Amino acid sequence: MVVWALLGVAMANSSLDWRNETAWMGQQGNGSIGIWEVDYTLTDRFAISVIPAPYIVGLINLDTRFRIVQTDTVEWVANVGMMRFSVDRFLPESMTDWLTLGVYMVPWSTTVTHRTPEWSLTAKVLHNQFGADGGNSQSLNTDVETVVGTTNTHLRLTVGRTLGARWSVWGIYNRLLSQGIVGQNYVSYPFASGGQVEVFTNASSDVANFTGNSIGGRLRASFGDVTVTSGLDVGKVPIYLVGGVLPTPIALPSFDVQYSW
Amino acid sequence: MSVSWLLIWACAPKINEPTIPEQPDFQALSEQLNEPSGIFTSEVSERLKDWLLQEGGVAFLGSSILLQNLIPNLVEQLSGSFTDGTSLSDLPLEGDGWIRATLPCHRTKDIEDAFVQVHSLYTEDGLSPNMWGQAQQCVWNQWGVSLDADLSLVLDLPLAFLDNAESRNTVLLGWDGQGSVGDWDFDMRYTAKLQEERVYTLWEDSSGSFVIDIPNLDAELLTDLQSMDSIESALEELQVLSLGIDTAEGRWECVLIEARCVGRDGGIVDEVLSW
Repeated sequence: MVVWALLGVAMANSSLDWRNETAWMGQQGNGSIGIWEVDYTLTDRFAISVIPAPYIVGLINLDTRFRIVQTDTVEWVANVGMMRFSVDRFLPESMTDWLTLGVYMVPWSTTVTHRTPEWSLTAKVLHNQFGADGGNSQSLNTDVETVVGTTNTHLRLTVGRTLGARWSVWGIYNRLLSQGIVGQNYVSYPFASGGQVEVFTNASSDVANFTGNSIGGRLRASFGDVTVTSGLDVGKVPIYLVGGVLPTPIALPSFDVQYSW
Repeated sequence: MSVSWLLIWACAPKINEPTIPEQPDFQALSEQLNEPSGIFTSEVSERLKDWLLQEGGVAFLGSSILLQNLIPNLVEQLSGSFTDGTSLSDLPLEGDGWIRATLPCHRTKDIEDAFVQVHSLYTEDGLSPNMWGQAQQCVWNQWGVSLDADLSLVLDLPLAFLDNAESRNTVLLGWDGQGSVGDWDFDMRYTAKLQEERVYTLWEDSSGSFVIDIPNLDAELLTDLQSMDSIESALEELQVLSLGIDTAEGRWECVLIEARCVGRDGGIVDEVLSW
């Protein structure tokens, strides 16, 4: 904290401009590079972001943000994204001829933020579908395709308050609204005498259905173009990327450094 | 903007699951066959005779042949082994879903062009015996029958996972389309059932529905009819045979060539109709 305070004195420009937690998306040409995300605002109504590739080799992902409403005090945006990670490269070549495996995530959210020079009040509804898909075309002379995954939906309320020009402090309440398991499966079985039987299974389960709350705090400081965020979440905390919630409470630290322009 | 959304959603993995055709109302089909609504009169009997001597008789013979030959053949194919040595009853059907069986039905055409394709739902309770789909460009030379129609089937499959007791010993067949027996064509909606080796056919007249059967039409007689010189001869033969006609008022037994029907109540003659 001492180091932070010294840095805060040395460098100005604290901000409530927090893309991840609020509906803020900047203006055309704004962007940032952080530990967890790189984003760029293409137009005044449309921004994109990716999770930096070096962190997860082979990850293909894109998140898009669309500005729906912007007034002097209110911003409303919607996000939809996709992430796909093929694990074929980690399989022997003899298997990848007939086997494909991948993990994926499809998040969407809508976020509304009410903003004053000192306060930021945000409500967000967030839905994630995370899972794995794969299939084979030669094993046992059958075709198999499978998609399995979990879905989770959250309501997230965030309050930010500036502390001087550089600092801001944040409180986060996350409510897991639902969590479930989904699956699709396709298998074809050829008859020895010709023809085939194809089996289509659609499955969903409420095995993982439960609700839960978590609370968290963040301290943000802007040092010129660099913003540092750190904090802690406790309770039934959504896991990074997946969004799933474990049945038992955990404590999850958070840290991020972003360079913005 | 919406294009971007669509592109991103399109990238989300999903199985390209084909659309399952709409399921026929099997309950209604079954009720139609079990609860005829028509009142039998001499005028109705004339129309029935006309129907049997034309398209209806051809379809009647076709359905008899299909029910007594095709259905066992389908069951045999469905009960056969997969290439890995397992069979349909070994499938790990868990949860809810549906199956689609595609079987060849033409000796020379590829299965992509000529096939019988049936769909069925399954749940935790097992596979439903209700199947529906289509017969596309099917020709069974060995029976002299062709069919190109939508199909509805309730099969009494001798497979362990079929647990619908109500369907036991009954096979229901419905089609909506065209086909032929020998050189005679038919193009109609048709419903029949096979129960205790007897074929019962639904005949819908302007005065109501009736269920027709030929008590003596066993496999041997059917073979005799098939071996006749022409379909006309086979249809003429139908007039000589005793027909059973279930109506809203009870059962009649008719010999069309004699223009005479006998109403039966509990096996006792209680009315005679002549024309």
